[in-house]
Amino acid sequence: MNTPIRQFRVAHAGLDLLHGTRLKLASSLLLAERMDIRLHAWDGQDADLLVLGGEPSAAAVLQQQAHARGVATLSIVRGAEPLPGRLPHGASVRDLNQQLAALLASAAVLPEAATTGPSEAGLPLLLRAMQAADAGSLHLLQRGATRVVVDVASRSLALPATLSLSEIVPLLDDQAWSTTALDAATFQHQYGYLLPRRHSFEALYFCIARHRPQLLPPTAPGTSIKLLHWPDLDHRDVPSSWLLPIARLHAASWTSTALAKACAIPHDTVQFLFSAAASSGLTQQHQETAVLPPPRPAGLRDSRFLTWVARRFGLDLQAGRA
Amino acid sequence: MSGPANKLVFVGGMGAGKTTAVRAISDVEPISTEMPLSEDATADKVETTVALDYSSIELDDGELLHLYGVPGQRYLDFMWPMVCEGALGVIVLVSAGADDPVASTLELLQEFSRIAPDASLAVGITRTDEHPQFLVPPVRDALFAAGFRVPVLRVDARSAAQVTFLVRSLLSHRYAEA
Repeated sequence: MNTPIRQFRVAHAGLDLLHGTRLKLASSLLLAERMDIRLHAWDGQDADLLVLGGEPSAAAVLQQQAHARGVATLSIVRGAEPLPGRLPHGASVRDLNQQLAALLASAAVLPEAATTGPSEAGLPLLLRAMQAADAGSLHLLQRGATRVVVDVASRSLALPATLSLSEIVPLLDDQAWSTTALDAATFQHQYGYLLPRRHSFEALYFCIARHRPQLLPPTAPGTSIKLLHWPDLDHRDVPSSWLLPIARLHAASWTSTALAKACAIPHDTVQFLFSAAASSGLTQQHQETAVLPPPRPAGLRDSRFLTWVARRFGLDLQAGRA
Repeated sequence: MSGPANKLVFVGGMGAGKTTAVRAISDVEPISTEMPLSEDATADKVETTVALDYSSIELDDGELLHLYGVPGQRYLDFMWPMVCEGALGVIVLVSAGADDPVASTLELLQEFSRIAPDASLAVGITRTDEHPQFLVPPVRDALFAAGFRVPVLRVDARSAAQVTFLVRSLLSHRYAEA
């Protein structure tokens, strides 16, 4: 029996002629996979996938827009390592074709209300469920005996009392997850007592940043962000060395390079924090590529006593001197 | 007061975990003013703090950080200004099982930000093991809407690691915001 041809809408933004042409070719070749692709310029509306290129900070803004609408993205970034959802500048037709196939196959899983098969590739199924646009529904994800319910409306996960986020994270990109849509009454009746513990999406994103940061979409280099709120952090998933950069992001807008320097921590770590913050929807993004550090401390911040207290509690604020 | 801010104050309603939190991070056995609960009181414990808890932590140079646990009940508010003079931080503890955690937290934040304007603030949500469905972001967002942009974290007051993490968050917040 032939698999029916599935239709997808793929939007693009910021692609140059070379990558735009390769995208058209890669899309047309997907007909062999029985995927009919309709390409159009990104208009901020619905699409199954957005392919992004061009200037990094503008691409980051569009990526945020897309994720806010639950649209998966494929970013073409200079110097990037090929990862699910990301390709380097100069990506071939084959590279684009393979990423499109994987991301669209994954995108096709969620909109179906009935039980569906496992995720094939791309962004992990649970993260895709968290970005689903249908905020009113619940998604039960199962992998063997492991069950998680994604509640988009409250931006939370329901887990068994004995299962922690750090135990879920290593399993996220396992191919054996499947998803089923639930209504609230079914959840309460059949799963509420099995999955009593709630964790916020934020807590999961920061847990991923700690344990599997490559699963989070990266923020564009040069983007500066500020945290709108102090994130919902779990002491088991966030090392104390992350608290000062988080506090600085809470206080002011920073680029990753400036923040890494100010806090004397690896740039990669800051990038992971940026990814978690952006995925959590806790950020204000800015276009400027250089951000001055906050005003130099006066009084309280330079207090030796505060430094001693911090050291007593295992914090090195001196490392944070810009 | 001319000396450095050298007090850390835990405040909260009955059963929020103030005494337990102070005890969790103290170097020495805290001085406590616990008394048996009256028969009319409703809480799953047999004693409650009727005045305050006090303890201290010795720092590298021999200086002391003074720890206080202060009841949030109004009839004890006369002691709040005395305790908060020279406070570097005030941590509001609220039980996830409280009738209205946002309202009770907000009331204490408003009071203590007025009494101790130089102190940094943070909020710890306790007893989430008994209320596993409790989510922190809605509380944080409600406090933000009322003008308080502060760290809000869940904390098990019995756990030194978790209370320490909350204190670290407050200290980082204070350092970055100053």
